[in-house]
Amino acid sequence: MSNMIIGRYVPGNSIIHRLDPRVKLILSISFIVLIFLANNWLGYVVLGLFTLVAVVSTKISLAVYLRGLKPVLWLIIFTIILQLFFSPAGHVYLAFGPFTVTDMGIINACYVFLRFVFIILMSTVLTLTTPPLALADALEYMMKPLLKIKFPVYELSLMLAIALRFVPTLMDETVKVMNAQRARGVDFASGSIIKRSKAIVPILIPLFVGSIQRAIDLGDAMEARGYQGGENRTKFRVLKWQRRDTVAVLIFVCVLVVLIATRFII
Amino acid sequence: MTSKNHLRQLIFGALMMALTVVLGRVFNIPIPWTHGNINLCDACILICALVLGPVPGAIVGGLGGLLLDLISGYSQYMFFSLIAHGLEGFIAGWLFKRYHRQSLALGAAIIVMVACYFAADAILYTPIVGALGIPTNLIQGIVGAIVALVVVPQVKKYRQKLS
Repeated sequence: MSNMIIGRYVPGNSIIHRLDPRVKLILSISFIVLIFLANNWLGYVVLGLFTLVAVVSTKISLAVYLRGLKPVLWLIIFTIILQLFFSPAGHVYLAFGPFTVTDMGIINACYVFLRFVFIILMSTVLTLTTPPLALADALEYMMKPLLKIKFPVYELSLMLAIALRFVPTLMDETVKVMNAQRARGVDFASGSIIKRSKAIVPILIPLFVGSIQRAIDLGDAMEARGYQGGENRTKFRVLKWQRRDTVAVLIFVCVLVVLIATRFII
Repeated sequence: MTSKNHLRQLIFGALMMALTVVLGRVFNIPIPWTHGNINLCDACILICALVLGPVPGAIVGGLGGLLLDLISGYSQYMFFSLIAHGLEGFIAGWLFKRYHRQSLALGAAIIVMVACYFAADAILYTPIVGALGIPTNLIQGIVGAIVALVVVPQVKKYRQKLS
């Protein structure tokens, strides 16, 4: 089970795959800011085109993306229905009892739907094209400015790296303990919430105790090899800024400018 | 604290982050009446907060939540999770240190976490989405707290080994 997938990374060689993880991380977060800038249909068309270009250029089949949308489908539908019926004002099309469907309501529902789709697609682009370790490296770089306020960045990034390294190991261990419990007749897959959470307790305790032992062992091992954290440590994986990264940032800035322009055009 | 113990504590914190991610990914319990799933990451965060204290609780919660969202494909939530779960860990640890009442500490922490996620959904989409998420998050928090209450005494027994 050691190859259990922790992320949803799909290996590939597209332009998005090859972008620097820092660029991908920062841009996909800034994308949320972009969405706030769109306040009319033209803005949403621009956003849609941008998202479409990003999705298509990952060269991953669209089915994978649609699978990402599926778990939140009921939430999207529910939200749209509520948004439709409880709309503030505007021209009334339909009215039964306290529910009214207005043109404002329909437009707002459409915008909320598009927001959902864009945000989820963009974050899926990030996770599908970036391996988890690269994401952790990117996070570490993003924390660097915090050094100025005496924030323990190096210690936190050591923790992030160790955490990511041990996710698969601990996952194996969890599965092992679960199987051991199953062999003794514990049922994890059915029953009420209370029954299920009770069944989980005997799994957690060995995991915690095992982690304490592992922390002691790993700490001693690092100590014995003369580990020293801080400023001058070199890295095995070095992130390099390439020209395509600059291009990606420039494209993003262009979209930003166009979006701001759409606010004034209409 | 000697540097050796310091390193051990750091590594234990890191392993707890990893465990937060694992519990968040392995245990997905569907909730009746909704199509939502809850995961157990809160249990691990709350246990850390009660056993290790407010600051480690905040670090494990914040970075664990962030990592969980980042690798499970909810990167739009990652910074909201950093704040929500970080505050959750900090408040649980701090209130417990101050008043020595587990139920108070866990209850307050869960309420803060749910409020943070409401704010996150309201900012990202609309307040309606935030309101729809409240029951799911609340159940997730309560289940996490119950599990934490049972596990904490057992973990405390082994805690001394670390220092």
